[in-house]
Amino acid sequence: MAHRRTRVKSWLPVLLFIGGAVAAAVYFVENPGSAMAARVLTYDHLATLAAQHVGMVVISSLLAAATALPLGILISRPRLRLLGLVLENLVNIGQTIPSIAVIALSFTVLGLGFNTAIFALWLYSLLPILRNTYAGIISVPPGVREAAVGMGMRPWRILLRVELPLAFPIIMAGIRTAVVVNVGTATLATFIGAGGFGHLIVTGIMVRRLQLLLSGCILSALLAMLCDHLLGMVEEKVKTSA
Amino acid sequence: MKRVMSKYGIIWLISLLLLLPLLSGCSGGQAAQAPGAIDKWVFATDHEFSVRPDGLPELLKFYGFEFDEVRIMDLGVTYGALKDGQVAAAMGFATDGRIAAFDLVNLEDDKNFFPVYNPAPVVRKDFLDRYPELEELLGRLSPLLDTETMISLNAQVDVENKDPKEVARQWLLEQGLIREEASAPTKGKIVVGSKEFTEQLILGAITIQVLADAGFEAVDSTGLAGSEVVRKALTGGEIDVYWEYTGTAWLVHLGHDDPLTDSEECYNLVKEEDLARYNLVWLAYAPFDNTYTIMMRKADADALGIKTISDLARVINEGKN
Repeated sequence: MAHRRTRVKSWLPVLLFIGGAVAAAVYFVENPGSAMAARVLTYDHLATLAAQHVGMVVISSLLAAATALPLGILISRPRLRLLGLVLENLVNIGQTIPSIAVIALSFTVLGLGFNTAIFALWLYSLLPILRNTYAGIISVPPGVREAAVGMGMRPWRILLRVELPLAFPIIMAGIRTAVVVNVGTATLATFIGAGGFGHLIVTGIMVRRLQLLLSGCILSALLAMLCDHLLGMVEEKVKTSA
Repeated sequence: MKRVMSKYGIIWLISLLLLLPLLSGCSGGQAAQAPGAIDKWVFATDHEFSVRPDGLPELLKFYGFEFDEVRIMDLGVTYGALKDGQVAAAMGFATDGRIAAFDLVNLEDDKNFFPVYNPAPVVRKDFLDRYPELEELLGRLSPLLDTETMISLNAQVDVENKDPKEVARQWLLEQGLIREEASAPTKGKIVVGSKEFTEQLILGAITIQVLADAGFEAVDSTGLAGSEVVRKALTGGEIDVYWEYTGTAWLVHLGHDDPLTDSEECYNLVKEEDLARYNLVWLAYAPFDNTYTIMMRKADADALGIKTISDLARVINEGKN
């Protein structure tokens, strides 16, 4: 019962925010305030932008998880501790490069469009996932690992049954961070012709139309919030089923 | 040690394997095509042009055609996207240096859709009364500045990374407008301003060197950020002369809503109103027009016989029937 109540409570602000954001978006579409904003703020166009934005975030995040998880596990092996330290520091430095620079650099090599945006977002979200996977596994107390060895578990089983489950919350935190940051970074993809909610924001700034700017911001915030919450639900589900 | 190396090797291999398909998948762009073989008319535009009332939607209506796809990106990116063959046509600014450098061509706005933005030196009336020779001194520069000249000057700065001052000096020397050695200033002080972008820096540098050559003490106050700031500096007496565009003055400084598309008409109206309202004098205007432009690759335009936007509309519409 108590469990259920906390769940309802955690949903409430999210529901309120979603409701508010959707209402705001609808309000702006119905009252664009100028012909220029009206040209951009149609339900059709918003759906296209949403599909582009969600597409970029989902594909790049999945690819990032698929790359960074195995890599994180690999460098957490005792034999590769040294490499782990080097890589972790590289990762820390990498994260200090501004996201717009990552997109701009990818553009100079790969050219325009959706694929370049995916590549840049993938690169940028590798880092939190890799770091958290590594940190999560490293943080498993040596005693626990020794106990598993003592029970005669093979390394693979130790990884799957002991290390990963114990590291899971930390890994998930990394994935959630990566995805939420990704939603924000994807607003920059409009500079290289990949669309997304950034289109509304940049156009809004260029032609000084607050309705465009705000609807872009609100919709990307909404998406970030939704992604984070969905991943939170997945995390809960996995935890309870494990 | 050998063991460690092999492990490192495995890691690099894995990351490379994961990277390669992405890189090869992304390295996109179309394969080289025969000139004029355009099967999909994709147009590159920046965000502002895609919604402005004097931008893309009205242009398409005015000329009566549609692109197959419109891709919206940063302004600086459209030239490269066109050059690399990722789009068939693009918008840009008519005097950008990359047009010549990238083998692109401006399509003529044959139906006068775009508002005109011809630049001219602007001075305060009282200042011109003090130095009446300015009218002739700066006025003779304007007719020499046509679109090709300005594209070439801009390209020397933007594409060849030369210094605007040096580019201005070279051009003035070629035209025989200044002498190799400037004499010591014998006349009064003139502060020259400009906005912050390449073309304005070049125009500012040209003005400074011509004034210095004529014996004035020319003070460099170029590179001010934005039209409003430079204009206020001029009316407030912090600078004495700068090159403003007729269209900008008409729409921004004089606050009109209807853009003008005839150079002569726009210049005359602005000149008259600015003198009456703000006591500013517009000297002779240059024939180059820094307005929006629709560009294509030169090879494509030649192969398809496209010179004007009407030609483009005709080719696209014929392709659809």
